[in-house]
Amino acid sequence: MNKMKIIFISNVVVMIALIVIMLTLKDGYKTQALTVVRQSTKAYTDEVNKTLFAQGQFVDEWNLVWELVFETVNSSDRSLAAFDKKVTELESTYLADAKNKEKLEKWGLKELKLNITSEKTKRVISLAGNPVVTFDFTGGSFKSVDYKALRSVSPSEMFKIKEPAVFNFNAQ
Amino acid sequence: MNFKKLTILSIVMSVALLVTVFLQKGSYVSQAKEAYEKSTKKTFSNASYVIGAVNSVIENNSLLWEIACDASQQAKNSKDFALIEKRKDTGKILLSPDTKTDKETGYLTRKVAWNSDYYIVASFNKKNNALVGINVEALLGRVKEDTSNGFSDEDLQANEEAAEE
Repeated sequence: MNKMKIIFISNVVVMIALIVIMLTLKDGYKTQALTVVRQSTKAYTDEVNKTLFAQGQFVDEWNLVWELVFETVNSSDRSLAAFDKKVTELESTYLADAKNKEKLEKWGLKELKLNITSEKTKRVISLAGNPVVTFDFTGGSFKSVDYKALRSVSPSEMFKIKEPAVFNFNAQ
Repeated sequence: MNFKKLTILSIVMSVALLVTVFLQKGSYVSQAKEAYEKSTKKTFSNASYVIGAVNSVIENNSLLWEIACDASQQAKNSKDFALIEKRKDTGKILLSPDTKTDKETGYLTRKVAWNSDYYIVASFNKKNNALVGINVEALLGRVKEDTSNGFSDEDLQANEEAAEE
């Protein structure tokens, strides 16, 4: 009988210990679960937003470049000075738009500047680091423009997102 | 005898508790995994749709810009313009051009579009069919409201919503 008593009491102690362990672990797991879900979800959302913002910025720059090409081929003033002035005008017009300002703020930019390399008789515009348009001003006035590279830009190669990574409970 | 039963019962309970201790982590992992997958899959789905749609707009608008720029330099009349349009649209993405007379100017206009939001409008003199000009405002999103990026409000809203999620 005494032996049984000892087993019973020991078991009660074990039960209490198990309940304490269970409750302690429960709190830990709950906190870990909330933290991991919050952090993992945010990390993925940030990654997706990065692509969305990059695409948004690219689209606006891309449009500015096409507009510049269109304006240049249709301009009556074919001088290099008029071209340079047009670039500044387009950038200022873009910046003057409240919606564009909001977007720039979101992208962490103060302005949207076209990436132009100036040579004596040429102006080369790059998009996402690649030259896409070359304006030829041989003799000081507009002669020709090559926008084949701009036309062949493949956004689907540049802007794509990965599927979310497999969930890892221990990732922190 | 009763005490013996009570002891056995308590041992069974201890074992059950021990099992619970080991299983409870699995339950939290499962719930956390479900919450993560639900949220990230929604983000992936929405963002993929927006990115795909915007990529598609870039590719298709690129054709309209090319036609507008080529025609501005090479087309003298409506026949030249139609030829450039036909030659460039190798993927046959353009809708049938909409031609009509502009009541204000009296010019014959040809609207070239790949959907209702994105198009260019070429104007021709009715007397000699000479190209007068090409309007690209729709490509710049300036038809109804100036967004200066060539995308409709629907696209912009979808992009913003996807970014917020």
